[in-house]
This record gives sequence, structure tokens and C-alpha cells, in this order.
Amino acid sequence: MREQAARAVEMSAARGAAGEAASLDIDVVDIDHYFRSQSDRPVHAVDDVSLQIPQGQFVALVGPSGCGKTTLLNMIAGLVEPSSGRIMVGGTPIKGSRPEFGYVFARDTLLPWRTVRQNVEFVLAMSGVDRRERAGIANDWLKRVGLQDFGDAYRYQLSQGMRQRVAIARTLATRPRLILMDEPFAALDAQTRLILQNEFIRLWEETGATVVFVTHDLTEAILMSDRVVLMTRRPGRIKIDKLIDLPRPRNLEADRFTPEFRLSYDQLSDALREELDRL
Amino acid sequence: MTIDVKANPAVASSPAPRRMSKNVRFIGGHLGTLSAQISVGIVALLLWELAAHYKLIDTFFVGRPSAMLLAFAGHMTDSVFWGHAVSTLVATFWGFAIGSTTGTLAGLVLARSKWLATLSMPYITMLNTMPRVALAPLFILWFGVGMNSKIAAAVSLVFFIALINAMAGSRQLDRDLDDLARFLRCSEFTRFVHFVFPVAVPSIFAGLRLGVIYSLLGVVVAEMIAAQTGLGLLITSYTNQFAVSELFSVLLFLMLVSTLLNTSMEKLEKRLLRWQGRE
Ligand SMILES: Nc1ncnc2c1ncn2[C@@H]1O[C@H](COP(=O)(O)OP(=O)(O)OP(=O)(O)O)[C@@H](O)[C@H]1O
Ligand SMILES: [Mg+2]
Repeated sequence: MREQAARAVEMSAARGAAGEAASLDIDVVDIDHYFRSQSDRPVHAVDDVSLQIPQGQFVALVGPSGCGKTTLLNMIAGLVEPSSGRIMVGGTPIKGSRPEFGYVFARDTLLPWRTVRQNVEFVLAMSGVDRRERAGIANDWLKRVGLQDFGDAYRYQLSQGMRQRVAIARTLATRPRLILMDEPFAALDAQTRLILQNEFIRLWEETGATVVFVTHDLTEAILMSDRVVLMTRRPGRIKIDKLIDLPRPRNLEADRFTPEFRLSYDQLSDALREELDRL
Repeated sequence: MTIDVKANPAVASSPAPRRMSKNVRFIGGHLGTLSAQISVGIVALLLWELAAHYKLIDTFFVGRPSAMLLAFAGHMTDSVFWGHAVSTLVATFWGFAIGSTTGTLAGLVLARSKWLATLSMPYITMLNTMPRVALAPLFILWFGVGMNSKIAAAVSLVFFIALINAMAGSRQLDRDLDDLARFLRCSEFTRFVHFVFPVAVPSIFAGLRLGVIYSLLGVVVAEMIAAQTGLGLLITSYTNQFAVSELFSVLLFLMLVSTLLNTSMEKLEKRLLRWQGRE
């Protein structure tokens, strides 16, 4: 219980004394990262990446497999410490994750021994939400992702897509101001993906949270985000950093027929193909 | 025969009829297998009985089923036999309770403390690989003939099984869940209660199931060496009297008891590990 009270204090401190949110601008400065490996020389995963993300921006991160996208996300989350360089959030260097962050991992990471509802409630508890409010918030979010009938189901009883929806609900339920997402819709069929993309965009437009969104799908990247950052093959460097000039609120079905989409798509997919062809 | 339609309340909205018919088929198949299995036993007993009847085998050394069942029926109404049985079962219970609790706790502690594990592991491995029933005479020397030496013999077997399984189990937390625990800034205590321990439970249970059987083994062996009461004592005295059918009747009783203990552990395990979704 002490732990929880401390979390609540942490939360309100992060929001600022007057209820005014402190800036969460992200500043990634000259990051390099090497993974140690027992056998041969270290793996150079991220190579001299610098990236400024202002509060409220929706950034998509794309690049070839193994180029260091997840690693970069983990470093912003405070899970991996960069070999060199630093990451500042709201002007202070990051050490460990912060209560106003949310992370939708590449794999669903549901606790298999807890029901769907208990999973959401657990994350709420860890974010310092009062015990009496948890059930209400959890039910509300399960409804929003269409899982109101599966509150008592266990992980093994859910499809991939449903697990991913729980992971999204569980993350958004804590009202994070920075949302990190690692290929959250990759495991879904086309229809479910479109529904969830729309749903997520609408939920996000309400909140004004910063989003860093890793995806392999260029269409998804352009249609959803304000900015697409394309990384090179490992060791990952930033190859293209492009603002997407489509009006908000977005219309995921109609926007793909605009010239802005066409041009962005051609430029990014040429660059991506170049990286994939390079050996 | 009842069919457990409510086996899975969580999936109320999934097609119930299909589930039910699957259960019916399952139970039908189960009954079919069970009757086949029982038939095999009965045929074997009949052959044994016939061989004894036609003097193909010497009943002086191998007994005969009819005599064994008669002796069994006699034992069931004999208060002296029950005195022995209760003495064995009580020692088995305490041996299991003490051995599994201390063993599991020790395993969990060792899994948490790297240097403690490093220091003690060679000795634990040596003690574990040693045929510990050989210690039973020593326990009798230490604790005297009676309850305490029997319990000690059982504990010496159960403790290491529980320890090894608890230790192996608490190392099974995968990277993804570990990342989640770190991202949520769980305290060491929360991490243990909500991540490490639940992950370890299946392995701990595998140890407990073995532990019940081994506790019985330890007790009976101690009783065979020296005891005032107990089924092990009964076994040696029947053997010395060449009362082979009576001896088999005691073994039959021990077999039934260990099967019962094992199935109850399995039932309990299934209930507690519902979330694994194993049928
Ligand atoms: N824990 C680790 N230990 C050692 N090497 C690692 C580790 N995690 C990642 N790597 C290496 O770092 C590189 C970048 O990995 P990362 O997971 O960041 O790639 P990614 O861009 O997310 O790829 P994908 O699109 O396939 O998910 C890879 O070459 C990988 O082999
Ligand atoms: Mg990745």
C-alpha cells in the first residue's frame, strides 16, 4: 500500500502542482547502442541517432527488421540504457520508466494467470489508481475495445487480436501522456486492424498524448502519424525524417487517395527498398 | 454421470453446444479407455489365479489373487491393521508437509540470492544425487525408533525434490514479462508475488506431486528397517512368515493410497492452474 501511495504522489507531481502538465518533450541525443554477445564482437544496434519529439506529436518509426527500432523504443521507455548518448524527457535525463508512460509491447505480455479484467486492473494499480475506481475504468476500456464479454477470460482463451486489444486497453486506461507502441497491430487481420487503427486514432486525438509507434506497414505509418522516421539497416541510423501534411482528424479510408499520401508513400518505399536491397 | 457444462464460465459467449458435445465425446472415450484398462488388470489376475489353481506356479512363493483379496478384506476390518496404516499415513503427511514447505521456501530463497545459490549448489547437487534412503538407518540412530525417524526419512527425500523444482520454476520468468514488471516499476515484493511466483507454480506443483509419493516411500523404508508400528513393519513381518498373499494385500493397500494421493494432487493442480487451459 505504501508503494501505491508513493505512486499516486509521483503521478500528481508529474502533472504539476496546479494540475498543469509538465512538458514531456523527448530529446534523443547522439545515441549509440551495442549489445554484448558472448561469442563474437558486440552487436551495433543503434548508430548515432538524434531525434526531437515535441509533446503531442505522433511519430511512426519504420525500418528493416533488426535495425534497432525496438531497442530505441526500449531506451525511451527506460528499459535499456544506451551505450552512449542520452535521452531527456521534459528536460531531465531519463532513468527508468515514468508513471506517465504507457507501452504496448510487440508481444502481448498479458499475465496468463490473471483474467482480462484483472490484467487491466493490475496495470491500473501499478499506476496508482485508487482501488475503488479500478473496476469501473477497466470495464469502460474493455467496452471500448469490444471485449466487454471477455472480462473473465484468461489469455489462453483469446485470439492474438483480442490479446492485443487487451494490451491496448490496459495501456490507454492509465491515460499515459507518452505512448510507446511496438507493432501493435501487426498480428491482426486487415479488418480488425482498420477498426483498431481508427479507434486508436480517435482515442489518441482526445488525449493529446505523444506517440512513438513502430510499424512495418508504411501505409499505416503515413495515415496515422504526423511524422515518419525511417531507419537504415543495422546499425540503425535515421535515413529519412518526414513530416506528413495530412489534416486532422484523419480519415484512414479516404486519406490514402490524396496526393500527399501518394508522394510520401513513394518516397518512403523507395528509400526502404534501397535499404532492403543493400547488403 | 454428470457433464460439467459450466467447466468454463468465462467463454459464455462462445458456442456452448460444440463445447458440450466435445466434452461428452471426451468423457465417453475416457470411460471406454478406463474399462479397457480395468479389463487388462482383471485378465491378468484371472490368469494368475488359474495358474495357481492348476499348480503351474508355486503359491508358496507368489501367492494367489483370491487369497490376496481375502487377506485384503480381512485387513479392512482389522483394527490392528488400521493402527499400522494410520501410523504410516500420519508420518507420510508430516514428512510431506514439512519437506515440501521447507524445500519450496529454500528453493525460492536460493533462486533470489545468486551468491547463496553459488555457494550451496554443489552440495545440494551432491546430496540430491546420493541415494538418500540410505540415510534412514542413521535417522533411526538419531531419533530413535518411532514417528520422528520416519518423518525425518520422508523429509530427506521430499525436501530436495521441492527445492529443485521451486528453484527451477522461479527462473522461468521470460524477458517480455520481466520487461513489463520493470516498465511498471514493480517493487521486489510485487515482482515476486505477481510475476516470479505465479510463473513458478506449475513447476512447484510438479515437485509436490512427486513429493507425496516419495514421502510415502521414505516412511515405509524407515518402517522396514526398524519400527514399532507401520505398514513397512507389517511388510517385513509377513515376508519373514512367508505370508505372501498377506504381503501382497499390504502392497495393494499402499498402491491404492498412493494412487489416491496422486490423483488428489492432480485435481488440486488442475483447479489452481485453470489459467493454463489444459484439458
Ligand atoms: N537483448 C539483446 N541481446 C543481444 N542482441 C540484441 C538484443 N536485442 C536486440 N538485439 C540485436 O539488436 C538488433 C536490433 O534489434 P531490435 O529488436 O531493436 O530490432 P527491430 O528493429 O525492432 O527489429 P524488428 O522489426 O524485427 O522487430 C538486432 O540485430 C538484434 O539482433
Ligand atoms: Mg522490434
